[in-house]
Amino acid sequence: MRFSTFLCSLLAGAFLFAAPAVAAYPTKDVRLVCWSAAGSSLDVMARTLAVEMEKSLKKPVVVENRVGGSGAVAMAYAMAQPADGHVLLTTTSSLSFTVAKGNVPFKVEDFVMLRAVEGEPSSVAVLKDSPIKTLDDFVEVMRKDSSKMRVGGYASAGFHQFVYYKLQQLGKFTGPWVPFDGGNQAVAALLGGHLDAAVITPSSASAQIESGEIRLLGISTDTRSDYFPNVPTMKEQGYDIVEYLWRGIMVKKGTPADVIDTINAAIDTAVQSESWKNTAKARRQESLSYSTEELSAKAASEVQERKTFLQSIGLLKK
Amino acid sequence: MDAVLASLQIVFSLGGLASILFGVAAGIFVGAMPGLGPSMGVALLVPLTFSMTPEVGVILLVSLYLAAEYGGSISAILIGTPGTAAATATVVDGYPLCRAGYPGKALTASLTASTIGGIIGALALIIAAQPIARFALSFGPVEYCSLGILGLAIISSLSGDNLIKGLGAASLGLVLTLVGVDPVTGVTRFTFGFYELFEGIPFLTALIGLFAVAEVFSMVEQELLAGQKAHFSSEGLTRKELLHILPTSLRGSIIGTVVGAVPGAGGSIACWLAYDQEKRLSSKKTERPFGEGALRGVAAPESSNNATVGGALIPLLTLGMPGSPTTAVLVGALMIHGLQPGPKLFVENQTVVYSLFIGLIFANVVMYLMGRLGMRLWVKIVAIPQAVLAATILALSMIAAYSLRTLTFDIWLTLGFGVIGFIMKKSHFPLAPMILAMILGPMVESNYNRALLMAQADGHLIFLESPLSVLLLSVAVLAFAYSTYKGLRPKKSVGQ
Repeated sequence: MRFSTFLCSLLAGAFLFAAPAVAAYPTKDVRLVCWSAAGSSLDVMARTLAVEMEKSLKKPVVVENRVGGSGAVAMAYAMAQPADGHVLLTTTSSLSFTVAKGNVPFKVEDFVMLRAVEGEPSSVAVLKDSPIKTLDDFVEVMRKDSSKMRVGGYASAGFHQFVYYKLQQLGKFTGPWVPFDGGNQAVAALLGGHLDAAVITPSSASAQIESGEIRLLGISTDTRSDYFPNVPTMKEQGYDIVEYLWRGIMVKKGTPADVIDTINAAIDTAVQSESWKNTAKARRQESLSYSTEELSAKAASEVQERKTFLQSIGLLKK
Repeated sequence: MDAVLASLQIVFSLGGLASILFGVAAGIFVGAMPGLGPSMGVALLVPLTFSMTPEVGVILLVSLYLAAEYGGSISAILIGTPGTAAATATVVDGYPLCRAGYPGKALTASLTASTIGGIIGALALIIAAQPIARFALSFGPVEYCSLGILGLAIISSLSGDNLIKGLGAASLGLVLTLVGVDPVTGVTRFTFGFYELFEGIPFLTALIGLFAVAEVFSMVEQELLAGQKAHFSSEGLTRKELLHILPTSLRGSIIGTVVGAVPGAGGSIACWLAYDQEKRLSSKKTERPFGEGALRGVAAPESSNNATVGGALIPLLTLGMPGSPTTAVLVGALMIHGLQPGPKLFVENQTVVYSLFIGLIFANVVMYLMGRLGMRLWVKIVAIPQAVLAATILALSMIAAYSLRTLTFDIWLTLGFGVIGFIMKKSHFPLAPMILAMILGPMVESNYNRALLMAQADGHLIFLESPLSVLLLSVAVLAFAYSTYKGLRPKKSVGQ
């Protein structure tokens, strides 16, 4: 123990005395701060990306998990660091929910959204032997009598409930939402017959979807997903819902433009690499490409959409 | 058959053996360090597996997971601080047994029970995965809520002599779980504007305070009052004692396997269920009563928490979904290797499955041997002068509290809980009911709300529609009534 303490203080000392260099970015290790726990989807994205980004940045890219406060802990940390691009932050479309709820003292505009590198759709799932075969069937059943239908998915006032809310709007029906602590728990509840339908990320039940035990009625991708080619999109069934739970990278606002260009270039090279593509494929991720401007605009417009949604389910005052 | 032979070759290759040895050693370490746990340990080692074959990588991670569940008992016994959440019940009897001068007996009981639990969990995974997985699926929100209530009913039997104080401690625990974002409506409660409290009071941070920091305060007090003279014996178990804990370990293993297989339950609940079960079965003949260093009180939780490893792998292999936070990290690791956890693994990647089976069994053997070897070293910890030990534990606790979320806020939180724990100890409020309430509170609350949302117009009748729920609730009522009757009945003076 005493030896490791000694080592730690030695290391800390080394960092303190590192002279500030004037060379081009990056001048030191780059930290990629992830607001989800180690092992989560976002964390796996960060770690896979970091390995590839190191190759073009020529400095170590270290992933740090700073979990808590719906991302506020990580954001507060990044805001306290200089805007020089040495601290990158993971970001997801869940940021717009957190901001819309007013749960964090930050705005989307406090950051520059650099890239969304991957995303997953939502989908409506039922069991194999359910009489409901299409999204139209589902909407019809719900319109007729939703009082016996149990529908749920991951989280309250989150991405999947938002997609379900959009479906309710377009299909003109109402019904309660049963929120679960994890996507897997919702899938387990569906398999165990505790739910009649679940709104889930398809990858959280890939084994059951491939074996036919779970049937997806519709998926929220723009065109049919390569991973689930037999599943019709919601759009092609007449419900214009195209939504992704996207994941990407952002930095603190005020980061110099040339630094942003360097980081963007490193990300773009990283997502072209074989290892990134293979991992993304294994994890059934849709590849997304938004420019920095597009993504920032998207994030801002999402906040407005989420606010309307939260107001309509009564979680936000008008 | 070819796949089995190929897997045997992998497990007993240089890489396979090295990863088991390293995994077990690392597991014992992260388990014993309060604040580091199996899920953190597995997550930290995942990048290391990138360069390995999937088989060897899986063996490494599973060995670590298994050994960490055992490692948690070492600190629970020696310094009265559970190294993992699943070792909280081990403190109740393990620590008193150690302070009574028998750290060797407590550690041997824990190691033996852990090994038995680990092997039985692994065998259940190999032999009975399908039926257990089907049973686990019958747990929905209604059944989880009822299981949680059954767990809370145990509080009455964990309260020791004073039922009222036990219920008081439990209420405090339940109140603390109200802090944070409401799981169903998403509204923040009692956070007082601290975003550090959005996810609730972090359980491990509270544990470190209640156990480790409070223990440091007690040590300081004792040191000031007296100083230390007790003699500590590193002697292990006699044959009779070993036979005494065997049935306990078997029962604990079964509880652990089943509870581990139910996603959302896990070791922190299994250890208390197993402990309570043994306490109820105990006759008065035992040389040490429960709560004062009963060997069976060590063996029950330790066998059950190691059995949850095999149990938690059951839904992973049969359904492709994790049965515990640690297996959730494992799912991520498998996916990085291009493997899709689930039944297809048995068809497409047989060697991975069989390597996991064989590796898990063999890791138990390695864990036992390493535990035997290490024990002589660990026993020395209790011989360290109290003053030095107290300072070391305090420093370690602060590091652990900080490292969980890298927040200074958590250091203050831990210290606060240390004060609460110390006050409770001084005024003879039992800690166990509070811990159990903190584990079960969120589970009962969120599933209760979920069940009512599902029931819609049916309301509370939904709890009586499921036979499993009725069974769990009935057992809960009986357990509570029985312990309350025993607890409130005027005590006949029983000679110690």
